[in-house]
Amino acid sequence: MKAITITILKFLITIAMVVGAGAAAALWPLSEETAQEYPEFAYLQWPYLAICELLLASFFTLLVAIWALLNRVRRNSIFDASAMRWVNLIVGCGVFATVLLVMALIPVAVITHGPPGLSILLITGITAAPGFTLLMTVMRQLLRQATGLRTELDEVI
Amino acid sequence: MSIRVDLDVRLAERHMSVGDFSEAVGITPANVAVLKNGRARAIRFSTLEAICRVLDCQPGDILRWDPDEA
Repeated sequence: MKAITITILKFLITIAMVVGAGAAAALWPLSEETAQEYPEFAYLQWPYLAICELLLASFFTLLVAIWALLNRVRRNSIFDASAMRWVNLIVGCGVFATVLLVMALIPVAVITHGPPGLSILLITGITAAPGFTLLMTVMRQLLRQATGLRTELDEVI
Repeated sequence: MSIRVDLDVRLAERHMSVGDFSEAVGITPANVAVLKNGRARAIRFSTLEAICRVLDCQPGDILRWDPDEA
């Protein structure tokens, strides 16, 4: 991967982190407003705020892991065993996000209906998160095979 | 590994040091040591060709199968 590509990607990650931090802060007043607009769902405010903040936390962890992997690509050590740990972290983030979204979906689907936008967001998330996790699992296998091949090739004189 | 690489005799005949040999062939001195003490698991044909060119020999002159070793 060219150095300029890595720099651009790191720049995009930084922007995503800033936007994410802004969203994490904006959620607090936003949830307050939503609770006042739909007083019948006000009891959902704190659980869903917690779930959203945890989702953003896993998103930040994901960005950190991608940053670490980009560093390894630049140093040409992406096929070391240590890179696998970061990929495992990414898969863990996907699993964590999926669990959180399932937890968020259950009250809305079973017990009561939340604000209309919430259902749409949750259904989008509940398809995107497992899809992402599955994709990363496949990528992880690819990396493992590539690392094995590279290790074998390094032994050739 | 039961394939032996006998470089010492050929190197001595030519009065060539390991450093000069490794530089001429294009591999690291560490890899030359790996070849000599039988820890090599694979070798490229391009490396073998370079070795034969530098030592002016055939592959069979430096490669030996040692059945007792396996």
